[in-house]
Amino acid sequence: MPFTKGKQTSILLIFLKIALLYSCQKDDTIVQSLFDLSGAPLQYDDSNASRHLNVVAVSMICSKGKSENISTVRQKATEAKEQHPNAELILFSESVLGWYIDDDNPEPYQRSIAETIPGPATDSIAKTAKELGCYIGLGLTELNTGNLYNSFVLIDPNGEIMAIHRKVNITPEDILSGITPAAKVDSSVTLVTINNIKIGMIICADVNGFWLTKQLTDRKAEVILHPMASEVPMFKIDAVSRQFNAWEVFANRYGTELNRKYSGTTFIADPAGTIRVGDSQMEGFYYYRIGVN
Amino acid sequence: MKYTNIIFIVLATVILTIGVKNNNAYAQSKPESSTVWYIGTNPVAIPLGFSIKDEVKRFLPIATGNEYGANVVGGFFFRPNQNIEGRLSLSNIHQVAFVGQFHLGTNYYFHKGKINNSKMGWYIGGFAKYWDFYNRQTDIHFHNISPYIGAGYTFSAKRFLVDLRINQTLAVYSWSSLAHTKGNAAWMFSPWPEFIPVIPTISLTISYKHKKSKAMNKHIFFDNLTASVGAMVAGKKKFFANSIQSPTFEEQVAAVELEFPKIAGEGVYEVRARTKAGDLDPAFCVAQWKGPDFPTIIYNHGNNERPFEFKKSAKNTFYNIFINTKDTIEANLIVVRAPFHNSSLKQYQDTMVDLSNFTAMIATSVKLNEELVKEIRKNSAAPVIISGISLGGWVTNIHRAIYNTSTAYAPLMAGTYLGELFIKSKYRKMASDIALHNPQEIRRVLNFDDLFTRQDTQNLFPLLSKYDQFIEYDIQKESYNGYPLKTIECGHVTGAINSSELRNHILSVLRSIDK
Repeated sequence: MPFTKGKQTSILLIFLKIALLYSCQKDDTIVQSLFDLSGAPLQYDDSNASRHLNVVAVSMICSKGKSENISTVRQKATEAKEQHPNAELILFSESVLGWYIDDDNPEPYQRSIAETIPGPATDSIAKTAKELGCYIGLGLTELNTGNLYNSFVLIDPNGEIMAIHRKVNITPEDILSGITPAAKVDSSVTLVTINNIKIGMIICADVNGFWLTKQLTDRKAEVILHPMASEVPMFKIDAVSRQFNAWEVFANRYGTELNRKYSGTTFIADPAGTIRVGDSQMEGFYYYRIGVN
Repeated sequence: MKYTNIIFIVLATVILTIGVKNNNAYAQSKPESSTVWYIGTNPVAIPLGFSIKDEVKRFLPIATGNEYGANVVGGFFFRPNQNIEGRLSLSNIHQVAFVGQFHLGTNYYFHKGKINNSKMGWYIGGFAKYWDFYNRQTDIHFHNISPYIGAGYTFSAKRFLVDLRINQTLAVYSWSSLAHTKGNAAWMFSPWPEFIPVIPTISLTISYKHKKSKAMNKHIFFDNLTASVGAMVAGKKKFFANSIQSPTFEEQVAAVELEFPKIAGEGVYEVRARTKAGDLDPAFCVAQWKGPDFPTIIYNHGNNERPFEFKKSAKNTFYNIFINTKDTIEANLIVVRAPFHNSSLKQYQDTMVDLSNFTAMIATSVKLNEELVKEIRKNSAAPVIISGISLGGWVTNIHRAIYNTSTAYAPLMAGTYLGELFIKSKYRKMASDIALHNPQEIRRVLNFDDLFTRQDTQNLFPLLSKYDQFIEYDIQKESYNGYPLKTIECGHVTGAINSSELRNHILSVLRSIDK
């Protein structure tokens, strides 16, 4: 029996309603879409911003040896400060004390470069932070009561550990390396205030976690510090800025580590998702004076 | 304003108006379609609204035209080979963002769409897409509008359309509810050009097709009624019930020999014609003779008329157009009576069972028209107009196709696809089974579009009725590409009795050539 026009409309409306009601994801993973990246770069006006933070995002090559990387971080921080004397915060990439993963020997390698916080590595870098009089943020593998964490430490200009964020949303590589995810509890939400600006700290794939996104957006984070270990090319639109409605400082490593080629994509983007400064396929410093309206 | 904004606006305008311009050009050369609308969905996009594997979710949008979740597609074929289509898709694309998108555009199919509007096939299209990327956590909207082009193939299977399409965005204009932001435009061949410079997407649409029947108005009603009653009256003596063997019009006309009388003023003149169908009895009547300095209108009547009966009760369009009027017609008026129109309806039906009689009837009138033109030209340099309605319209057009010796032609409610009258239009009820079962033979003998297009003199002023169920507008309009076609809001029956419209048209032709 053929459907009447009325029946067709009713069936379609019911279908539409059901589909809309159930169009949601039950798990915690945010899978970004082409829509997250689509659009024209908007013109975000921060010329009348009342609060500022001068930031340098660093893209660097990490060697397999920890001590060499500690030296490189200190050297790069010094160079960045020399090039940008107004810099107040220098951000390095994720797991910067070594390779992100040694595919031949993942967990033993991570244990070999892991550090307590505070520990020798952070003590050393803290000296540099104090010498330079600026914040230094970096990712490292943290050893704590026998567990490994993919952590992000922020050291203040006095050389003190200001905050430690442990990665909540770990990747398959992290699992292979024996990394333990941070629990989805309030203490895993890391928010600091610098220059009266609320700064959220996340690591790499944390951005794909809805729980942490919700915690930081609910707390109105204004800047997201985001150390990365990623092969992604440069973006036209920064989806993370739009996700958090915040400035994003995206610091990634560069170079080949065994069979993995890290892109060095590093940038600073405004809350509209427009990339203000950055580049890819190279080491470098990217400085920007973030203005928070 | 940045140059990219200007480029974007120009580009969007061009794409969005392609369809409109195309329509205008098409309207001048192609028939209108009956209305077909469809409603459907992109089934591949539906799973994207739900929780599925990450990798599938990441790449599947390329195969869904970037549509997510619940979606509905609706379209309307406003021409046989062109539609307008809207696509609505609403879905949470992930836990953070909801995207509502609406596409609107047109697809142009490459098939001719001449008669059968159910044909589909390859097409190209131009669309504009609006989408709102709404961050539910921050309550910020990112609005975008983007022109894109597409190409695809539509399969038509009974009431369903299956459409596979490739889409490519070209540019985007974006704005946001986020404070301190201004809109901006940019080229966009890929959302992630550093990864892949150009990312086309594919979309599949399955739709339910509904062909909307033409609205029944009084014009259609009377035509349908006439055909039904005529078919009942004809009984077994329908058109060409005995034979569909016939020479073509060209062959028939060439074979006609007339014994043409000497014209001596107003009056009826019987003519003897020898044809391939035997001896026939055409005639003409000089109804008004104002002199050789005046233009002459030669008029050919419709089927089963009585052209020499000058009274209101007569079935006589000539009388109603030219005689039964207060207007003074400043022209010589001659009406031609086709063979077989000097006897009863029964006798007429008896002869029409053979296609050769039908073609001979028309051919004889054509030849008689030509003899009249020659005769008039002997003593007059004034213009001559050949006109005629329905049957007379075919005579008019065939005369032009073969001789083209008249100054102007004004065929009323006729065309060049005479075969379609008997095998496709509502008038097919009047056609015999043998005719209906041999449409190609009927078309071969009766359609004369190829012959007609050999003439390109700008002396053709046709008139068609929009709702004509016999001389179907959509089909016969094809005959007149490039000529000024007058369209009246009538059917065949209601058009034939709309004497004022017909008169006005013929007189306007008279005025235009008399200048």
